Amino acid sequence: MRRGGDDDARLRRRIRWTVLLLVIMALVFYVGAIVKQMQ
Amino acid sequence: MTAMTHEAEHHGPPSNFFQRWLFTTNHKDIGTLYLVFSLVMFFIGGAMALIIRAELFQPGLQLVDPYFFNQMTTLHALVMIFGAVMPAFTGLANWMIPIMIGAPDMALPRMNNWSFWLLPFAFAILLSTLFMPGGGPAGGWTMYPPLMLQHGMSFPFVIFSVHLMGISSIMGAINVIATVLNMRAPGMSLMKMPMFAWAWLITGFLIIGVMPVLAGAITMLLTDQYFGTTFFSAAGGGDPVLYQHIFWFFGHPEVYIMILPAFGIISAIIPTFSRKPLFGYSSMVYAIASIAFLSFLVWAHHMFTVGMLLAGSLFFMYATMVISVPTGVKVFNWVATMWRGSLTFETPMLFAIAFVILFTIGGFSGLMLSIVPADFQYHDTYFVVAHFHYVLVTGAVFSIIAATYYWLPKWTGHMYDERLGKWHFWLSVIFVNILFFPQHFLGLAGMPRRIPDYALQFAEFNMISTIGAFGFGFAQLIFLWVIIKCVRGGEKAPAKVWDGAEGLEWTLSSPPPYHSFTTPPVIPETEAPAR
Repeated sequence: MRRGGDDDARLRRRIRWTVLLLVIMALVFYVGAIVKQMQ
Repeated sequence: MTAMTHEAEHHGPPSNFFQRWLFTTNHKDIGTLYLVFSLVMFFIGGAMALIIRAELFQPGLQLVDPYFFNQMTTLHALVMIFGAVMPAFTGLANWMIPIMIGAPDMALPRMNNWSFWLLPFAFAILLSTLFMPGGGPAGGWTMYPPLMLQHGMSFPFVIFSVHLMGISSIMGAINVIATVLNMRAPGMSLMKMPMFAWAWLITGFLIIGVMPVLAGAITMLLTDQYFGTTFFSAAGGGDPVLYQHIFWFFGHPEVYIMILPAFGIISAIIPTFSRKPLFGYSSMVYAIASIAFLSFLVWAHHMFTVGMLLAGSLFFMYATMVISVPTGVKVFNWVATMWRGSLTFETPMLFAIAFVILFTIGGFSGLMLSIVPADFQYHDTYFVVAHFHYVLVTGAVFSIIAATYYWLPKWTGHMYDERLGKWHFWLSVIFVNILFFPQHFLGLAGMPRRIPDYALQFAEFNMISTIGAFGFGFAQLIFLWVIIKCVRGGEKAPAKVWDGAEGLEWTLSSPPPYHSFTTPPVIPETEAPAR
């Protein structure tokens, strides 16, 4: 939920964590596809 | 900060053309860029389709070299999937999601600019392969080895451009998810979100789950070709069939990436023109989530004929059939929304109703294809071509057209020409069926796909199909004219364009201010779910 203008830092932190988790997820699928093929 | 926000609210777009369109971080401008790009790609991919259909007008070789024909089938698919349908949905998400959930912009506006601007470069590279020695890719959009590795110069360019498209889609998806999860207006819980935002949230996870898998597969193709690996070469201990497994692990969810946002659009349009709330909001959400989950479990139904264990075939057959349950829930809910509604049939509603009927036909032929013994007959025939074009043209593309008519007055501030819109609808719906319905019969009679020539027995249906293709292509020129006319002027559109429409986007003026919802709207606790 958006926290409004009085808590910008918190919103930034939440967005940063969301992006980090999603990027990790994408990398896991990329590397996973290649590793699976190597087995 | 407050002063800056206040100032920003009154800012219009930059007056410099390049500053506005090249460096923009505004979600509305980036949405427009995506939509215009997608329209251009739609016509390029459509021209390729017309070359294919012109060649198939009569048996025998007519117009183009068979090798060029194969390049057209390959590029038509790549352009339409990655250049037309996916960017159109991303454009709609960019334009509509922030103003539907009461956010001032996307969560990551600068990355948003980058996600878009990768696309023109990716497609410039892809289309430039047509002018290279040996021509463009001709092994099919699935890029199966070893066929794909036997091409000339185009191969590394195609791999590079598909990687760029993948990066662009992943960044777009990250942006949508981060926006929907973090930027909703106070009081808008997940279960009060418009269905389009829900559909895109789930689509975003699908994109992040499978686009990297495609990237992995084609990276391995590249290393097999240039770095001495043998991932897909039996001679070196690899296995070409495993490529197919990896590709379709991406490929099947990709189909849903192209249809789930369409479900969101149809769930917005039908209630508006039925003047009733959407029937079964929560069941719609669970149905989309179930379809997305199941899409990861059915990939091998694209490759029954490569041979697999009986248990494997049965699993993939039944898992595929199970998808029809949540899909049936959605079709039922759309019909139930219309049931005893106060219906009117403006162009967006006409396309939405055509979607429900014709997409369901595509769904039924999909069920036929899921039956393993029957699939051995249908595989790689025109029946498959008919099936996925019913899903993608009368499904995905019709939903994009419906969305354009529905939101065009909101975007431009002008009403579109309803009479021309109706002409566009009726010509499209008649010709699209003339184009694709006979292909079912061709496939059942055994005509293989991806060939420039065919036996005489298939001549009549091919001729009918080609006439349909040119009619459908002509009808899209009307669409182009309607859009240009509407952008240039017309009757002034009110904020709430459709009297039955509900949602935050209709509280903004038409066109909305360049910066909207810089102060978040508050959604009352008691408010019913949006559409």
